Amino acid sequence: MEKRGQLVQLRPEARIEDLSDAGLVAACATGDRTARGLLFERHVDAVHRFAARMRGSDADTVEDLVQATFVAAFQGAAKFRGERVIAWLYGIAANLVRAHARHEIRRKRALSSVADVAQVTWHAAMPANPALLARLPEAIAELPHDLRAAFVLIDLENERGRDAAEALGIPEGTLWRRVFHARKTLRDVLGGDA
Amino acid sequence: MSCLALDQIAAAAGEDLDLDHVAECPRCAALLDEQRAIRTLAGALPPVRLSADRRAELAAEVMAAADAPVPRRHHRFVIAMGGALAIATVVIMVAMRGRANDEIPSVQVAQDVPAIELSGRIAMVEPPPTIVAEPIAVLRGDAELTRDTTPERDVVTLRGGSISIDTSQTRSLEVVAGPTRIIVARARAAVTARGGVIEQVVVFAGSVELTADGHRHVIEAGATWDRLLATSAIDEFRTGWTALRAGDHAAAIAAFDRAVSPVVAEDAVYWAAVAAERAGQRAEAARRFADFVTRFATSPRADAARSAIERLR
Repeated sequence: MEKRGQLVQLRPEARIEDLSDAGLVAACATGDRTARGLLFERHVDAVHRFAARMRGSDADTVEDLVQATFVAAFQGAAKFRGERVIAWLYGIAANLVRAHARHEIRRKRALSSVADVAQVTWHAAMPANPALLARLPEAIAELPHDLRAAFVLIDLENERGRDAAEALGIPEGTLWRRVFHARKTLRDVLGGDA
Repeated sequence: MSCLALDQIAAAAGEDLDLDHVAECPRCAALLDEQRAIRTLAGALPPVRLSADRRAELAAEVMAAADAPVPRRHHRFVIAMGGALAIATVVIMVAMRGRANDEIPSVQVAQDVPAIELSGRIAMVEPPPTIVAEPIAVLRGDAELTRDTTPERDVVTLRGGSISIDTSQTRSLEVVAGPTRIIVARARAAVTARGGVIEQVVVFAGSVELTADGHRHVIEAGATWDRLLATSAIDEFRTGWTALRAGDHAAAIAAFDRAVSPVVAEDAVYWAAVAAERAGQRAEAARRFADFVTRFATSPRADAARSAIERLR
């Protein structure tokens, strides 16, 4: 009989707080509530931020998505095979956001309705324009799901391209093309003549 | 001179890469500048933060949702998929039986060797495998039981009496009695049963995982689980939780204070403190949070409790 892979000793030699993320996920797969609580504590802020950026100001929905993400993670912990737990959680959250979007009413505003705005010259060195900044969350929320997920991971969560691509289950080149189009759409929506 | 692909420009903006081509190509330079501008603007967005209270409530909701039984339709789906998988497995095994017999390597089982020390991560990558047989736990006490020891599991079915178990240097042991199951792994504990039902578990070292009523609990060293106490404590905790959600903070505190079993004590002490804070009893809430931090220093909620103490000063 051949054995491969890793065994993770959970207790008592190693305190559960000392476990790596991957070890915690392994412990979660056994139904360990302490491990689940700890995994939640470690990553809830990032998952919440991601869900909030993806869902805008809809706080109830955001928290529902965060809850659903962790419940799905606990239920699917035995299947985790990746390297970065946070990328895995982002992937779950992104899928849930997409599924949720399918069930909600059509977006209140089409992209075209917000395109009629003052023209702004864009360049990287300019300070953040408060008026533009105020409209940015709504513009992000109007992005198609795939572009929005890529943009949020790269430009808001500052994930590396490789990690964001892993989270979304796409090649890195595809990810960057989505990021490009997301930024370009945002520029167009917020107003730009560059 | 060919221009950069769009993904290269996006990546250059996203990961602050310097591309020689950009210095020579105004078009690509402009695209890159636009991409960086949006990234800069995004970076100026105010942070999204989850308040400590909402975080704690969300944690409780997540844990409750994770503990909830899978809906029946999921059961049916899982059963159907399991059946299909089993059939497929049998077909594949029958088909490959002849070949497999020639390919399976033999297994060496080493007997009468000391228990191996397991700590941290153990990577098992180099065949051929040697399975080391660990000694089984020695049971002490006066109890009516049956024991089923296989290479995979060591299970004691306890009908009555008390046993003390030490698995600190041995294989883990499962104790089953009625609907309650206990896993003693690298731990010392005493278990008492009556009429085929586990009445009490006392943990002296390590921690014991106990599954009762479909829920898994970790009983840490120094704690005692008592069936009657646990049952009533869970009821009390539910009462407290319902009262807290309804805004009846006094009733919530009273109910949480009655939930003293280790199964729910950590949750109950914390939420009693939350209820006190919501009731406007700042000093009492601070005292309760401090008590929580003292008793459950390694709790996932310890940081939230410390924050609350700071907030209440």
